[in-house]
Amino acid sequence: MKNRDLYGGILFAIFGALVVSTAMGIRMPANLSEPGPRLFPYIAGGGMTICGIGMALTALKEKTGEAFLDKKGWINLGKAGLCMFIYYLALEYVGFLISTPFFTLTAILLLASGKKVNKIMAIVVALLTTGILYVVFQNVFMLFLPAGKLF
Amino acid sequence: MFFTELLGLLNPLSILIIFLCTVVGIIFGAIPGLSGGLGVSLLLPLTFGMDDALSFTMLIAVWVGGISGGFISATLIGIPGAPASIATCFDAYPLSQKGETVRALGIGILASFAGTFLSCLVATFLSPYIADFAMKLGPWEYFSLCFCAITLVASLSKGSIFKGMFAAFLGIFLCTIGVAPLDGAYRFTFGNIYLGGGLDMVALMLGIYAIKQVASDFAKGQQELPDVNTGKISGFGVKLSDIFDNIKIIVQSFLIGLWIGFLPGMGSGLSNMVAYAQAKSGSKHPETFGKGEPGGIWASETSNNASVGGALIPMIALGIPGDAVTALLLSGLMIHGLQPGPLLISSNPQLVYLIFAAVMVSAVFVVAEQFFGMRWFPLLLKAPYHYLYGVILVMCFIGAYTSTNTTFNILCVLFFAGIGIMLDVFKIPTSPLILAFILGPKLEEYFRKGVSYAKGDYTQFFVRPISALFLLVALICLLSPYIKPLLGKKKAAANP
Repeated sequence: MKNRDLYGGILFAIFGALVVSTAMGIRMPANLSEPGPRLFPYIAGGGMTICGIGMALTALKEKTGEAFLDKKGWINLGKAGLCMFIYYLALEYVGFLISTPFFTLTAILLLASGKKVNKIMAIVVALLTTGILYVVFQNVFMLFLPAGKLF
Repeated sequence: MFFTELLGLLNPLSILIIFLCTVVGIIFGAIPGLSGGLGVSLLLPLTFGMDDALSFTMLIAVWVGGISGGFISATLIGIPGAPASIATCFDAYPLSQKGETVRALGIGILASFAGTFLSCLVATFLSPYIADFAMKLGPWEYFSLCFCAITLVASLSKGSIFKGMFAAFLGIFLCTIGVAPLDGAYRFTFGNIYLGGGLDMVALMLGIYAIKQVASDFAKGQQELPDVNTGKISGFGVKLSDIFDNIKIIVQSFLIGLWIGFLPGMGSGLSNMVAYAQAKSGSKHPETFGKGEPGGIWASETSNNASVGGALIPMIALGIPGDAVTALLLSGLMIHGLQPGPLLISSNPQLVYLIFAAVMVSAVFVVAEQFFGMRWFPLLLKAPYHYLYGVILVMCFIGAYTSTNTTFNILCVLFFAGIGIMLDVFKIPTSPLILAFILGPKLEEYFRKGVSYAKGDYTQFFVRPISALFLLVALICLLSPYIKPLLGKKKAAANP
């Protein structure tokens, strides 16, 4: 399957070009005796473009290895990503104490991938994790955990 | 005077403090998202009202424990506890998955001890001389060194040079996000105030190594923990041949760690990657690296701990921090009314030698604690995968949050996990990205300073001998993937 690297290379080259064009809008201070703040974004964008083209050209000659994931794998990856994104939103809006037991429980059940899980045990682990982390961070380290915008 | 301070540390109160603080440091180092640096910053306010000697003993013990502890999670669960242990993951985790967890831990413990203890010994006696040499280096040499390090790692990565270099350029792009050095211009922030300070290293590390790994293992259905036999462990679980076979790597990595440690602004986060790349390039069997090669663990752990002693050299002799933690220690010195800089050794020799002695004693405590702990650490792997990684996920999110105190950093973790998965899809190596991200700000700052100091003259990078040497090495690294096959063909033609 050579298309993956070919399309990837083209995509990266376009992304590099976008970086360069966006970098043109960076404000340049007057009377500089050095290259200024645009230089490194130009180097990064230009470099990505060249490497993207190089990747695409190499892909025309050589075959890319086997697929990263099958369809089921991508669905599972989507599930994991969605679950973590919801946890981020929950931390932002309802805070650590409410969201963490639910996320820990969900993560345990999700990662078990169909294996039999003792539900009581999973709930106890979720509650203990939340409680211990809360006490240690808030009371021992004096580091405050997200309280949630809604509270 | 050094021995007087060393003996002075051997009183019950100091021993108890060192014991407790090294344990705290190891725990901080081992938990992904936390680090010894965080431990030092949390302890610093507690030392305000304390005696100078006791407060620095505490801070040093947490620091030494934190640097060493990072390899524990890297070995057991493949997630680096701190940036200093990123390269440790490459081989310690695969070795652990082969059922040799105890051996991997043993190598990590011994390498950490050797790195810390010997580098501190060097720092104790050679600080003033090495610091004199460091004063002669300018932004041109620092830029060339950073550039050389990135190209070395990119050229040694698996796959094509285009992929390695793409990862490096992506890393440089990611670190240009935020406020530019020297002039404060805003770049790629798109009006988002959280991006003003740039992207966080902890978010990058947790996203690419922790969250991505858990998510892709789940997607691939690879949710198995290695089978660990903790029944019969003799000594450190390491054979003498393990040491002698890798003696060249150990010495080389020690010197790399020491050298990088004493360069301002570059610490163990860089040295472990460079030493690993160097060990791989010098090996007769580079293909074994990344598959559980003990040499990879020796390289990473010796070098990151050697940076401890290295970082002490500019801190003590010049008052310049070698890394983020020594910057905190310097602020500690100032809080206690001391003036860091070249005069510190003559004005406060007792305190200077106490710092060196505290590092050495802490290293001994760390090795002893880990020696007993290594019987217990692998028991973590007896926990069912879904419970263990479910809890680790929560800790990663909280580690990211506490790093910047914003939930935006958690979003960055997810973003970096997405980048990590994209790199995996296209089989693009992650090490050049990480290294470029760590070094990018320094690379830009030194380049622009170099041009500015030379009044727009770019030739200084090529005419200064040390700078030119680093650039030459970088060029050889870039061309080596093309030169090596040509040389191979010539050899084959000469010996048909």
